[in-house]
This record gives sequence, structure tokens and C-alpha cells, in this order.
Amino acid sequence: MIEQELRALGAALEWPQTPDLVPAVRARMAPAPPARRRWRWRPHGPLALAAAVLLVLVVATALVPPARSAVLRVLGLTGSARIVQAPRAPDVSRGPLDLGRPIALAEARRRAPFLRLPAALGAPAQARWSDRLAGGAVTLRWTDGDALTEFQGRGIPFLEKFASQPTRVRRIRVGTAPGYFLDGAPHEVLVMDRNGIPIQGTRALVRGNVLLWDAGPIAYRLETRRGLRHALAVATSVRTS
Amino acid sequence: MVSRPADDQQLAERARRGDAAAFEELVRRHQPIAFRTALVLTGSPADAEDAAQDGFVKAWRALPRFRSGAPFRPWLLAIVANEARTRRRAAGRREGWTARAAVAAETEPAPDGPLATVLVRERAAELAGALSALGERDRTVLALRYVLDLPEREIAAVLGCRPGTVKSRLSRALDRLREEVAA
Repeated sequence: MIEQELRALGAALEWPQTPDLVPAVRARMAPAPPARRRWRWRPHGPLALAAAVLLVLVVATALVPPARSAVLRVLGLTGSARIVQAPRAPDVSRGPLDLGRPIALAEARRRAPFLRLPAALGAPAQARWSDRLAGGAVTLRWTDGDALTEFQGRGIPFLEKFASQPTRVRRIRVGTAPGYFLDGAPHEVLVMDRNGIPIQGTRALVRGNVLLWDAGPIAYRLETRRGLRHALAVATSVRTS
Repeated sequence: MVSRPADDQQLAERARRGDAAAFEELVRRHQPIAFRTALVLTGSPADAEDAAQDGFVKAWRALPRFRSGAPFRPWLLAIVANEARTRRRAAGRREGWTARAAVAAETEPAPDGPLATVLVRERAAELAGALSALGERDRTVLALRYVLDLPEREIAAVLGCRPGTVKSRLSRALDRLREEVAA
């Protein structure tokens, strides 16, 4: 019977070992399947897939209780953001965050149809594109030091922030969107691959204050030298343009 | 009282309500068949891994649309197969699983000693050769049925056709394979 021979041939095949997909899938799962949001997922090339990453925001200063178990965990941002108390101060020798390569604003719009500009800041001095995040991330920069990064939050496995006690972490709302304002200390940003493994050389120091908020499927990260009032004014002015 | 592991439907129902741990159990349970199905369709382990992973993530996101009480595996395999086909198209034409079958036929020793090994190898090589002479549609349906041992209902989900169509496609593919072997 040729069917049986086929089965025997199948049994003799040298199948590549099945990879353990659980960690990678877990990292890309929001805490609950979004019931009504339509996820605009486009398959990426193998390289882009391999480079799918998540961001870990590390907010840390001195005088930190060295226990990650002492967790300040606030759920709400991007569906699954966590704020965790950091064990130590950031390494001030680290370089700045790699925000990607400069591109023209029109090109940024083309690559990231989700891109929204904050009316409060006028035209950005520069746009940058990074494909380290699934779906890509655009960062807009202004001459006074403000920088706004936008990415498809649903494509981000999760965002984990390590916050120390001296760092103020305030839960805020941008309109109806949940968010956090982090100030009082520099913080570290750690880029990890989709399996949660830190990519060498991606740990960077951010000196500014940061407002994070999540509006629908898009996550925003505003870095500024100024305070909460300014950050909120910028955030609430983000609109379709 | 003996506690039995939850079945797929229970896990899928819990996952549908947002239970991530239940979904992870489903991933653990079905990743071998998801990966191999994708491998049959793409012919590339790397593409198969990506397709399986993306398939699971999409399934998680699509759970609210999953019909309660329906069998989980065919639904999952349909999503994974879709991802695999997308990757296959993006990669262009490539030798599928039969190339691997041929390699295995040349290298896999049989457990019954050298003579049996030679015989098994020759027959397996013959069969692999006949398979590679078939069209891709035939090879795929034969692989899904006899190599992965998928029931017709799941093959239908993977191929996006009706179970009756699977039956006739299988029958035609077997006929052609017999002809190739006899030739």
C-alpha cells in the first residue's frame, strides 16, 4: 500500500526540531484579545520579523530598594505596560537612544500611516524611522529638545518600565487615553528582541522627562525637557494632519 | 478525584475570555503540528517558524471571532497556513518538503541492519523521487494526509477547501503517485 509507504517515509523524515514558540508568542500577546479593534497586521520580511523588538523603559536613580519584587506595577498603558521598581541607578556613560535614521517627513508618513503630528509644536525639525519595532516607529524631533515617538502599540509585545522611588511616576490621562508621566530622574531604555533578549549595545540613557500614552492601537512617547503641563499640551494637540 | 488536563475547547473558551495562560497552553500543545504544517507549505524552517509564530499571535487576536464550541485546531491551522502561504509567495518558488524527504531517504538508517537499510533507502528514495515528480498541489495534499496525519477536515482548513474536495484531491494525487512509482 503506497499510503503506508508514504507514512513510513514521513516517519523517517528528519524534521527540524520544533522551536518553542511560547516565549515569543507570549511576548506579543496583549493581556486580552482585543474584541473590536481591527489589527492592521502586515506580514514583514524575515529580516524585519527577526528584528521585531520590544522596548523596556528603565527609570532608575540612586537610593533604590534593590528588589524587583517591590513592584510598582501599573497596568494600563498599551494594554500591558508595567512599571517596576529598578534595582539600581542608570549608567550615565550610556549613549543616547538610537531613534533610527533620518528620513523625510513625507516618507515617514508613507511608512507609518498612523503618524499624527502635535499641533502645539509646529513642524518638526527632523523625522527618524526605526524598523526595530514591528510595524516601525517614527520619532519626530523639534529644536527645543522635544521628541515624539509613535508606534503601533499592539505590535509591541510589552513595555516594561523600571521606576525607582525618587522618580515620580504619575498616572495621567491624555483626553481619554491612559498614560504616565515620568520625571525627576534620567531613565534607561533597553531594546530587546522579540524573545526578550537584550540586543547588545541598545541600552541608552534618556535625560528628559517622558510622557507615555496609549491612544487606541498607537502608543506615544514624548520626551521633553519641560514639565507635565507642557507635555500634556503637546499630547492633547496630537491630531490627524 | 483525578484532575484531567483541560481539553482544547475549554482552553480556547478561557483564552477567549482573556486567559493568557490558557492560550499559552494551546500554543504549547499545538506548536509541533503548526510548525510542521507551515514547513510543508513553505519548505523553509525559518519561514515555518515565523508563520507559526505569527499564526498563534493572530489567533490570539482573533479569538473574539472564534466560534464558541468549534474545534480549535482546524481554525488555528487555517490561520497558520495562511501565514505560510504569504511567506511562500514572498520567497518565490522553492523546493518544498519533498527535497527533505529525498535527503532523509538517503541518510536515514533503518533499524534492522545494513541490508534492510539499503532496501529501505532504495524504496524511500524511489518514493521521494516519485513525489518530486508530482505537482505541488498533489505533494502538499499527500504530505498533509500521510506525513502529518491530518484528518480530512483539518486538511480542508489548511487548504481552504471543502472536505469533499480534499477526498477527491487525495485520491487523484495517490493515483498519480502510483503511476510515477510504476513508471
